[in-house]
Amino acid sequence: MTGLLAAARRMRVNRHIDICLLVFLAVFPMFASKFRVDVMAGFMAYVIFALSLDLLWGYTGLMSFGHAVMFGMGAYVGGLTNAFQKGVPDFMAKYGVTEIPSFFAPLAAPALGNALAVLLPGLLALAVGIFIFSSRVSGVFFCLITMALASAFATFTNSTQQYLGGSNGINRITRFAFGGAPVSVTQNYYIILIALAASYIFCLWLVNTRFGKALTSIAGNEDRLRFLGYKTRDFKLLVFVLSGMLAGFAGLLSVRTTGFVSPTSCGLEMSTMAVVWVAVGGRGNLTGAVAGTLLINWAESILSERIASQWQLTIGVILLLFVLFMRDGLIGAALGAQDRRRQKKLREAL
Amino acid sequence: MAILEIRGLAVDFKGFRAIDGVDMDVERGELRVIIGPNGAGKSTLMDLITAKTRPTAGSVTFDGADITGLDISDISARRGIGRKFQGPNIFGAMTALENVELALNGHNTLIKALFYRRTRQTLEQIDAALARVGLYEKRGLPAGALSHGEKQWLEICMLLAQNPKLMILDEPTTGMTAEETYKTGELIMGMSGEHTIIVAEHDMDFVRQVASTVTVLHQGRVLAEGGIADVERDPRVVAVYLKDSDSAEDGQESVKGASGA
Amino acid sequence: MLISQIINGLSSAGLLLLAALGAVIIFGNMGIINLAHGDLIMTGAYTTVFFSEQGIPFGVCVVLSFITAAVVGLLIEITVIRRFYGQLNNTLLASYAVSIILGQSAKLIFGPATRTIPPAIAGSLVIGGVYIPYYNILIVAIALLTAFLTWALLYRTTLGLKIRAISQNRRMTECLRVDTAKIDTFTFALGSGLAGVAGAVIVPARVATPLMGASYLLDSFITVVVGGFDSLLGAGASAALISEFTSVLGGFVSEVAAKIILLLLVIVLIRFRPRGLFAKEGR
Repeated sequence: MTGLLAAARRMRVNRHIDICLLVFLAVFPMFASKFRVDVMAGFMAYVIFALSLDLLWGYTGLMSFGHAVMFGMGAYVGGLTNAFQKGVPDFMAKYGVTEIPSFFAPLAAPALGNALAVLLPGLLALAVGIFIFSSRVSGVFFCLITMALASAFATFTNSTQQYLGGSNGINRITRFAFGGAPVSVTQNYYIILIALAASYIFCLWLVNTRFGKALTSIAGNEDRLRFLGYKTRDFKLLVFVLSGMLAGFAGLLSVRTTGFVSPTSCGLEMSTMAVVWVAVGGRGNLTGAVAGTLLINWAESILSERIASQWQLTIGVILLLFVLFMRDGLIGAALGAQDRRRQKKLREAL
Repeated sequence: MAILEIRGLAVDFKGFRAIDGVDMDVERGELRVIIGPNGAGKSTLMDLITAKTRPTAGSVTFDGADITGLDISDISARRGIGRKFQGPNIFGAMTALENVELALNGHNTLIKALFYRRTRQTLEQIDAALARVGLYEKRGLPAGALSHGEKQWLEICMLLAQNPKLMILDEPTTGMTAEETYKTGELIMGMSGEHTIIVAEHDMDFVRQVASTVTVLHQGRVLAEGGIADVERDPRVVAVYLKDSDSAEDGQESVKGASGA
Repeated sequence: MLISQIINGLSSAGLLLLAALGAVIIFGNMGIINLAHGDLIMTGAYTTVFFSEQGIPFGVCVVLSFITAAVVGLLIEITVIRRFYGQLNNTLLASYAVSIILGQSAKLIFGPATRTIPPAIAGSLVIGGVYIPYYNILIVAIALLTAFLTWALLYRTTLGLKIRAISQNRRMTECLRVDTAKIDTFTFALGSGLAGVAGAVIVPARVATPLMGASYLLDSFITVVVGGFDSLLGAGASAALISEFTSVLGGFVSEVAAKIILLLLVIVLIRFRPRGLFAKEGR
C-alpha cells in the first residue's frame, strides 16, 4: 500500500486529475439524463480532437489554425460511409444521382469507409507535411498556410452541393451498428469513452517516448536538435500525420454521435475553437486538452441557454484573461505550482 | 591522413567574405585551438564545417569523405561531428539527465526514438557522462535551473554522450569564472585523444592551458599556425592583436593581454 | 469595355490594398500577425455607418473611421500586444481573443443584420454603353491617396525613418536612443487606422456585418504574403495581381473554385518564397 501511495505522490498532479476525470466520465451516464449523456459523448469526440491538436501544438509547437480540416475530413468520410448504407442520400438524389458515384465506391463498404475516415486525413497531412517541412518555413508562415488550407477546405465543402451537401452538410447520420440496429445512446457513450481512453493512452505513450521528448525539443530549439543528429523534418512529419489521423478519428466518432456534419466543422472557426480549448486547459500536458475541452463545451452548453447572445463574447473575454494572466492554462498552472514545490525541496536537499 | 582537411574554404555573404580561403588540417585525436579577434570568422568557420552554412568555394573532407554542403543532422549523426554552441544551448525545460539522454548517440532515428527505453546500460552511459563533467548530483534538476557554468558543462556533457569523432567547441568558457575555466580546460584536455577537438576561444589563459597547436584566424584567413609560444611571438599575430586591443599602452604587450569581449 | 473592366477590377484591387496596407505595416515592421485586423476593418466600417446615418459627409466619416480604428488599435497595443512582443503563440491567441470581443461587441451593439450606406457619389460614368460606377473611381482614388500618404509618412518623415529603422534592426535603433516602444505603439495604431479606412471605403461598395472581419483577415494577409511584407509597392502590386487573377480565373471556373485555387497557390508561394514575390533584397 505504501508503495502505491509513494507512487501516487511522485505522479504529477495532472495524472491525478486524469484519473478523476476518467472515473467521472465512467459513471456519468448513471446520473445524467439521456440527453446529457449524448451531448457528453459528442464532447468526448471533441476531446480526442483536442488531444490531436495538443500533440501538434502543445508538444511540437506547430500552431495549426487548420486542424479542423482533418477533423472535418474524418467526419465527412464517416458520414458519407454511413449515409451510403441506406442507398443514395437525399442531397445527392436531389441532383438526379441514382447510384453511388464511383469515386465514393470505397465508402460503400462500412469497414473500409470508416478506416478511410482515419487514413485519408493522415494522407493529407503527409502530403501537406512533406510539402511544408522540407522548407524552413517557420511558425508564422505555418499558421498562415494552415489558415489558408482551412479556408480552402471550408469553401470547398460549402460549395459542393451535389456530393457533400453544400452548406447543409450531411444529416441523419446514425450511430454505430454492429450487424443490426444502431447502438443505444448509452452504448455509444461507452464506445466513445473507450475510444477516448485508448487515444489518450496512445498519446501518453507517444509523448513519453524519446520521440515525444524530441518533439518538445523541436518546439524549444529545433536547430539544436538537428545538431544532435536528429532529422527533425521526419519527426515533424510523423507527428503531423499521427495528429491528422487522430483528428480524423475524432471526426468519425463525432459525426456518428451528433448525427450530422457541415462545413462549419472543418473551417477556421472550428480550428480556432480547438486552439481555445487547449489554450485554456493548458497545452503540452494532455490533461489540459481534456479539461479545457470539457469545461468550455459544457459551459457553452449550459450558459448559452441563458446568455445565448453573449456566450461568444464571454469566450473571447475568458480567452483574453487566460492569455494575459494564466498563460499555461489551468492544468499548466497546477503543474507549475507542483514543480516549484518540488524544486524547492530538491534544492534544500542538496 | 588528417581527420579533417579543409581546402580553400570560402564563404561570401552578399559581398562580405567572412571566410576567405582557409586551409587547415587537424590530426586525429588532436586538440586544436582557433583564436582570433572578434569578427575573424571563428564561428563562421565552425558553421561551415558543421553545415549550418554552405561554402561558396572550397571543400571540407572529414575522415576521408567530402562533407561539404551535407545536411546538418547527417553531419552530426552519421559522420560523427558534434558541436557545442557559444551560449549554453540546452533544453531548459528538461532535467540535466534528460538533456544528456536526448543527446545519447545511436537513438536518433524515428524508429529508434519511438522504441527507445532507458535501460540500465543507457543509464550507466548517461550517468558516466554526467559524472565526468561533475553534474551527477544535479542530474535531476531542470537544466534551466543550473548556473551558467554548469549549463556550459551540461552542453559539453551532451557532446560526450553524442560521442562524435570530432568535437567543435565554440567559446566554451564564455561567462565562466577563472576557476570554472580551468576546470573546463582540464575536462577538455581529458577528452582529447579519444576525440578530436577543435576549440574556438578568446580567453588566452585558457588557450595557454590546453593548446598544443593554435591556428590564428584574421579576417577570414589563417594568419599563423603553430605551438602557442611561437604564435604568441609571431610579429604578424602581435600586430593584429595590438591593432584590435583597446588601450594604447598595450604598446609592448604581446598577445598575453588580449582577452576579448 | 476594357476600360470598364480595368477600372472595376482596379476598385477591387483598391479595396484589397486598403485592407492589406495596415497589415503590411504591422506585419512588416513588427512581425506581428494581428488576428483582430479584420475586426479593425469592421470597426472602421461601422464607424462610417454610424456617422453617415447622422448625416455626416462621407469624407469626414472616412477620417473618423481612421481615428476610431487607430484608437482601438492603440488600446489593443498597450494592453495586449506589447506584452507578448516576440511571442508568436501568445500574440496569436491574444489577438484572436480581441477579435472575438470586437466582433461580438459589434453584434450586440449594432445587431447581426447587415448594414450599408449609399455610395458617396451615386451614379455611374457611362462610356459607350459601359457603366463605371463613380464610386469605384473614388475607391481607387482613395486607395492611391492613402497609399501615397503612407508612403510619404514612411519615407519622407523622421518618424517614418525611425519606423523603418526599427523594422530593419531593432537592437541598433534602441542603442540610438529611439523610444522603440512608443514607435511600436504608433505603428500599430497607424496600421489599425488604415484598416479603419479600408472598412469605411468598403461599406458603400459591399456591406458591413459584425463578423465581416474574418474574410478580410485572410485576404489581407494573403495580399501581404504575396506582396512581400516589407514593401508598400509590393502590397499594391500584389493586390492588383490577386484581384485580376481571381476575376480572370472566375471567368473560367466558378468563383468558389477560383478562390480555392488562389489559396492553394498562395500556400505554394509561402512555401517557396515566404518573403513574397516583391520582397526587398538584403534583409
